[in-house]
Amino acid sequence: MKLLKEFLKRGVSTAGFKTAVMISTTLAIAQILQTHTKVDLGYQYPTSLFEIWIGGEWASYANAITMLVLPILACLPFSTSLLLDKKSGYLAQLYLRKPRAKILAAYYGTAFLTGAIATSLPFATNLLLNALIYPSLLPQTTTFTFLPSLRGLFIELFYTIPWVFCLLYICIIAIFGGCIACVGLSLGNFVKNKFVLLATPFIVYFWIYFITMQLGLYKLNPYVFLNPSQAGNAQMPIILGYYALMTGFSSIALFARGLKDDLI
Amino acid sequence: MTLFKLVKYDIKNGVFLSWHKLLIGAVYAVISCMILDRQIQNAVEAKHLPSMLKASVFDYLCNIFKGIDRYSFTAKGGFQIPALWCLFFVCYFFIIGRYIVNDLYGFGTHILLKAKSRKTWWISKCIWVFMTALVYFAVIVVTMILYCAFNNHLSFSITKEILTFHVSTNLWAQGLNFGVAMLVLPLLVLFTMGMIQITISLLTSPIVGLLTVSSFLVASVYFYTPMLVGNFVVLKRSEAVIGGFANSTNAFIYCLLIATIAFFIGLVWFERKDILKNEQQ
Repeated sequence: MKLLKEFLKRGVSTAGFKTAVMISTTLAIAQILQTHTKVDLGYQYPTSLFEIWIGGEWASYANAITMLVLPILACLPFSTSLLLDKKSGYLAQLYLRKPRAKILAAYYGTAFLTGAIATSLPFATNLLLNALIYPSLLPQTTTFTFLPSLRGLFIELFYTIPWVFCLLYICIIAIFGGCIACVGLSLGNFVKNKFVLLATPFIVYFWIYFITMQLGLYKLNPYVFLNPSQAGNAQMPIILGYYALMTGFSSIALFARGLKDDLI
Repeated sequence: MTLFKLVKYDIKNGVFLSWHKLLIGAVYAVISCMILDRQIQNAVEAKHLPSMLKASVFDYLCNIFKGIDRYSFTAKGGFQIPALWCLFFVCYFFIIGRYIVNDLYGFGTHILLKAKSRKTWWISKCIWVFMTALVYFAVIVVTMILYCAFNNHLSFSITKEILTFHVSTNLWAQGLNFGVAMLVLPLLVLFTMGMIQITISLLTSPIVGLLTVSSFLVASVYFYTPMLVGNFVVLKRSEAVIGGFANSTNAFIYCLLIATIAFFIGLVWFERKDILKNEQQ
């Protein structure tokens, strides 16, 4: 626990974390600038916060970039740490002092938490900033301006307690980001270059995007189902499947290899 | 060490000894060919096309570069980025991403000492970016040729029905120069984006370079302006289809302008850079 605390302190003070925060804030503000519309006070239902925030639409440039660079945002804060510590010799020093399993678990936990924070930041920041501009009017199905379809995930919550829906969806994105960060961390056992480690999850994510779009398998596309506007109806089993796949891969790759790795 | 020797060194190390990275281009080409074949089959079944047509090499290229219609933003609408088109560039960004910085902080320091001039080193890297774009694109085209040959329909002529179905009849009517649009402009845009990427990689880090050019690429899909050079390789937005600025003359002007700016920024920065302050890559 002490080690995790130490690592967390280190994780939120890295240049990668600061870069991720900067990118997130820029994207959150860029989305507001592009989608800004006057609140309609005429005969139409006024623009609501829940249709205009970054997770309520899928038309803006900031939305596309946020969804696209999600893996890089997740991996920036802490995923390279294992690789860099191996290179610098710091990991060998740690191995002398504590059991390997504990050390690797601390790396894993920190990568997950920092990745989760970094990926949820653009959404959380944008939601709160938009809340300063637009009224948080309850979504109505009859206005046809709210994107999630009636067969979407947590849709009852969206039309009854939208704040809880937003929070839940941000949690889904955060867990997904955390899992990607762990995959990135475990790649540190296989690759020797920081760029390859950071870019590989992004490239794989893009290939999944490409193949699922071409085959019409929108429901399997993280770019689509992670967007709270749910252009393709998100399904919980698919999301859980992705979580299991990424957690399984990263745990095996990190622990199975890390516990036996000969650093000398 | 002369510029010629430096270029030779870069091509050997950054292109030929990294041949495995170029395989990503071959995989991409095969998948894109299979996708068009499947789309043609679906179109025939839905009676959008009269009969089963065999696509040619240029049809496959058209399919990659058809891109997407010009986008007019409405906050309550929706938009999908063209995956096939984007991936063509993203794979290239991945291939060139780390070589320069790795070289600079690795064996390249000795080469730089032998070269005796930072300017020559930088020019050599710029030539390497062009050569990598050329080889990457050649791998894709050659893979497409082999794909057609294996399927017994090797042809280079454009199939009017497929083009009309996928892009627009205007392209045919306006007599677009397909050789330039399909072979020269993509290479030029790859080179320009590569120049932006290596300059930013040198200024900051390779991952920031990748992030920036990827954002620049997606911006080309959203905003129709000549400074976002991706617009020049979108057939659906070419002058022949919708009018506007996207013709080959403008493509040459803007691409060369942006590449030159990137070249000079990189040069000035690199001349002053403290290269002994090693960064962990």
